[in-house]
Amino acid sequence: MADIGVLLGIVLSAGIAAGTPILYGALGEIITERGGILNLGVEGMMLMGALSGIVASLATGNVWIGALAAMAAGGLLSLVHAFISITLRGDQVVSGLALTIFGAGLTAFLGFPYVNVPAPKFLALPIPLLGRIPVIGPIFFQHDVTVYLAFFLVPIVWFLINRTRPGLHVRAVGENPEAADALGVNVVLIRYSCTVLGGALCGLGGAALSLAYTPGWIENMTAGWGWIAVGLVIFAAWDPWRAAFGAYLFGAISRVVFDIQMIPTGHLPQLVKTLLTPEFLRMMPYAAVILILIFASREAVRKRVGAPAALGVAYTREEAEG
Amino acid sequence: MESSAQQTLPLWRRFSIRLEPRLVVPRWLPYAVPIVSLMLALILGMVPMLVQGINPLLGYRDMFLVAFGSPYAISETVMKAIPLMLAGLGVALAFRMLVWNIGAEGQLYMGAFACCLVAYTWPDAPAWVLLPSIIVAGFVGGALWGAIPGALKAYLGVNEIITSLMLNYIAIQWINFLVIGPWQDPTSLGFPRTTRLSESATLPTITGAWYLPTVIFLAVMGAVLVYWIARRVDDRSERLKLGMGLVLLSTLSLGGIYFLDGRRVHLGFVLSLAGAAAFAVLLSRTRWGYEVRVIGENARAAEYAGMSLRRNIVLVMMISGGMAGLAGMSEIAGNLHLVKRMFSPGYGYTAIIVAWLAKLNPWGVILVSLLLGGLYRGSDAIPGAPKALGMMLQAVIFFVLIGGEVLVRYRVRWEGGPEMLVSNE
Amino acid sequence: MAETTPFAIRMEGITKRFPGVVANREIDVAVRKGEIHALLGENGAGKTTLMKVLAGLYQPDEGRIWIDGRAVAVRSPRDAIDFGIGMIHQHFMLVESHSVAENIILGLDAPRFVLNLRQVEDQIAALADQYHLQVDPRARIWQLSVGEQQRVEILKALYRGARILVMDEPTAVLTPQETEELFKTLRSMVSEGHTIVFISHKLGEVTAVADRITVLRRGEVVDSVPASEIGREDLARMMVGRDVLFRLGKRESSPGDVVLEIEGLTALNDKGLEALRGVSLAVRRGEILGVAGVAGNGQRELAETIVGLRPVTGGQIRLAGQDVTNRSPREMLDRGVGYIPADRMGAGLVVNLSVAENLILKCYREPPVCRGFFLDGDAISAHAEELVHGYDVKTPGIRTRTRLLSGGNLQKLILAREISSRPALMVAVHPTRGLDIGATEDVRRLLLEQREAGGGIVLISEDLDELLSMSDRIAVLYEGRLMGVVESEEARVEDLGLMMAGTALEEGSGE
Repeated sequence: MADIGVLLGIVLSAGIAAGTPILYGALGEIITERGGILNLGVEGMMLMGALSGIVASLATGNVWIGALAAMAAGGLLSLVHAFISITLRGDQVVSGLALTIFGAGLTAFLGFPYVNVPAPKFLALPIPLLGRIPVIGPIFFQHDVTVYLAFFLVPIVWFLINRTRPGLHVRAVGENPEAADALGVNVVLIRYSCTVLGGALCGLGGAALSLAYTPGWIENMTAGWGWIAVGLVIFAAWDPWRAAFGAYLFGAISRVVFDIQMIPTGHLPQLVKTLLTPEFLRMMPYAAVILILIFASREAVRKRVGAPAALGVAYTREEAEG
Repeated sequence: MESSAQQTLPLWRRFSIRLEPRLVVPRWLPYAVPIVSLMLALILGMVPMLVQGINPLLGYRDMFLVAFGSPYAISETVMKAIPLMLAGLGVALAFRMLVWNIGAEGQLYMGAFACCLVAYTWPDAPAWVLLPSIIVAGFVGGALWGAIPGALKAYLGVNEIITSLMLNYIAIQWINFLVIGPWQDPTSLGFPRTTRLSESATLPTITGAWYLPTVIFLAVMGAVLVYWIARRVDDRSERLKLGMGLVLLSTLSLGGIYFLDGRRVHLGFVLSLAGAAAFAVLLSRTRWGYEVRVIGENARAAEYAGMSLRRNIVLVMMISGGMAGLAGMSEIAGNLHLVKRMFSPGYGYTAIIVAWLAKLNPWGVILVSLLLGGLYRGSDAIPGAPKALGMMLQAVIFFVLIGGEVLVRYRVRWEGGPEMLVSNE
Repeated sequence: MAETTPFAIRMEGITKRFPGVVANREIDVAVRKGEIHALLGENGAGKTTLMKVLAGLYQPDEGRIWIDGRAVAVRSPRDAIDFGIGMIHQHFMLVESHSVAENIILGLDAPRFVLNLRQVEDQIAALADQYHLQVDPRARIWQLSVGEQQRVEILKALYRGARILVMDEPTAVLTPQETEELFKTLRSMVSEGHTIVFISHKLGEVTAVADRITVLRRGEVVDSVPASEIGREDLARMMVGRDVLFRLGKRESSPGDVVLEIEGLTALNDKGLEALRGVSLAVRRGEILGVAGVAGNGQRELAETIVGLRPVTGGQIRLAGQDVTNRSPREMLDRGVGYIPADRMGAGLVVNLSVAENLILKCYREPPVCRGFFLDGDAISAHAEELVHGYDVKTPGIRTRTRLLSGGNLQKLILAREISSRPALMVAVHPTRGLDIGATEDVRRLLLEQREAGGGIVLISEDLDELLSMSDRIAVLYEGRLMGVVESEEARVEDLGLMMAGTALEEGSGE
């Protein structure tokens, strides 16, 4: 019994650590999508962020600079997406896809010399008093800075979006850009800002991977997690708290995948044993995303909680005939 | 209470660059753009190469030689191009209907799975039974895998991009499981792989025995077709299109003769060409192709005409997946003859780039596949970053292409504005 | 120097042109302070354009504006707000998922950063009390009724200190009770010193609430009179004018059997409000039934229910005696219903496909075009050639992409496609809108030929001249109800105007 308890604690703690990079991606995408822009380049931005983080921190010996470089990389890439989507009114799906492919390809090539090269990373930073609280301590307070930052970001993002004037404008632009425009809100500026800010957070998510959770660089190290962040946003109904819940849940699931291998399986039926092999376990997170999306689509229909109404649709100020 | 504030506007505010939509698109522009994008991408691609300390001009030259410099090189390029052609055709079809099939990679793996399932279950069946069976199985495997995101989109409104992508990862793990587990060849130490496929489950290479007569037969048919076109089709542009398709088909088929002397190019090549021809005919001359095009262009009009959106979404995903499945099948039964983990270097993803570069046109898919196949081959030549160089260049090409597309639709205009801003006069 | 002027708004010589049309031509309007001023006119009269100029959404090509005696340039909606002008659009500009308070403060500079909604809500409540505009500041917009949503729009303007309120067709979406409420509100706002401009096409309401009425027609001012000095008939005449009607050589028709019968039809519009309220009509073979009315009174919904693109919530549609209520578009198509939609590029045509391919949109499932799995290219070409020549569609070739054709030819294309399927019933919505003279004549001729061939036609149009010259009978829709049906030979323009503006045809009132 106690063993399972300990295991649960380990899983939760690891879940939080594993879910953090995805959470950054999801938070960034929430900001972008709330403003009405669909950014499917999250995976590419996370990869660029991850690699930039490694390169910068190796060059300067300073992880913080690495993190900043990661944010800059993500922001820069998303600026391109913003330009194509907002100013050129191009197809947002294709543009995002192009960025992902571009990010993956470029990082694969430029990252080659850095594969498995040890780089500075964020060290675990247990919080003095809180970290010692019996059950909760190890779960929440014995991580590194990137995790703690994410803890703060969730309520901050929530507050900014829901309780501030700029946030109100962002939400309005995502729901009904015509109404916002008619009242003098600068739709273009807001959409650009949301996209770039969101991209910067995605880049930071990449750094959270390469400089903290799985330190180092391996080609294509995000393994689809950027896409999972996009799906997570839908599941979270564009709310940062639910996104945090989903991200940590997902992290826990991926962790269970790893840890379950330690459970003695000798006495279990063959079918279950098969299901517990590493390959099947690795399928679980991705299958979970599909199930989550199915669930979310039905819930949306039921509960009237849907995407920002103007998501993915380019905005033009119409000068139509009277 | 009059205020007469006059401001002289600073220089930078007097002029504006505007992007305005073009009213008329010059006819040559849509064709020039991919070519220019390609060239631009090659130029841009030099930058990362320089960063890595590689001399780009030498690098490109080496790449070209490895890809196209000798009969052996060309045949190996074609080998790489075949899965791209098949998967690319499938992806292009789905994209025509605005169904974003990102799952070609997974559908490819599942096609390989289905083909091996048949091949391993009946290894001793004669070739004339087994060969068609594995081909059909490959198609079915991919089709079923593609039907999942299709049905989810059609009936539940779930985003097909994410679902098809997730299924990729699942399919890869499934194959990994099989390769390490039940299908592992006991004699493979260290590098797990499956047992070799039996002789009869091998796609035949192009040999004189069957290819030459086939080509001659096709040449005769081609001549008949040309005659028919000249007599019956009046419209010039239509004749041009049909003519070009035929020319391409015959060139490539004849080119196949080039591979007669013991090269590895296999039946998959014929399947690709047949696929492209079928695709072209399907889209332009069948009822279903018409529906696909109308739905992709204007779903409302399609609705008015009574076309069923749901059924067509599932159908198109199945066919698209089936083509990708054929790609997987051809790679296993024609090239590798066994299964390794991650045997596809991202063919399914490159197929997306192929489809876009080809502007969703079947013959374009064939040509672009040959080009990108060459890219795959050529990137083996550069020391230091084999696969990744190809990936990077592909990515740059795709990216520049998207940007180039914009220029087709918009013009850049300078505008001189007023010198002074007068308010409330 | 500010003049002490009785005028809240003065607009002089306002001209606004759009490609192909002059929406406002040298318009002079003067609105006195503290009055309710109505702008009356049909569709396309230019009322909304004029007010959008005032509200800073459009820039006039010529003309000047004075607010409270001060000459101003209204360059943007923000300027308009600064000058105290608040415009309440016909289609509300509200964010549905947000609360009332959030909508009202959208775009404002205060509060600076952190939203203090509680304070805002209190302010709104106080404002609401002052003007008797009851609404819950915390409610979400989608929870509110249309009348309440309108109050939010009004409060939005008042909150920004608007002294002048411009309302575009405010009663279009209100029930009679809500309309009464609104009028009470307007009167109380006037007593607080506001000035109100009220755009409408509804005579009854305008005469009930306005102090002064300015009538616009085809972009020009007809006249501006105090409401107490004019009667409805005169207003109607001013609205629709008395133009020379030309008959297109329409032959006497002998209508045959009833081909379409609508009984008590009710349907909702896209916002879920009642668009059709118990409409009953009949159309015979060989007859053109014109449907008149200002846009937004149910015409579009009527067309869509007949064709099967919109669900019917009550009543029945019968085609040649058979009940076809709520059948799919395909079924209606098969039963011989043709549709010329208002929006050519939308449901009508696939612009990136060729002319020939568009022409087979309805018949591609049948021989000779369809041969099993394949489409017969020859048959398609032959079909296309025949139609293009027969209907005189000017195109470089049948393989040309439709997007390259002019509006008139696009319309002829649609007509060709629809008529060639020999429909028993054709529904045509604004078929000549935006077309030049030549194309317009062609289209009208084709419709008349269809009529002579024995087809029944429902012709929905905003152009009264067209309806009068083309139709055998004219029905008028107002707020989703049938106001009356008259023989077009005997119709008087004034009667039509009255019906279009809300007065039902009375028995024996001057035939």
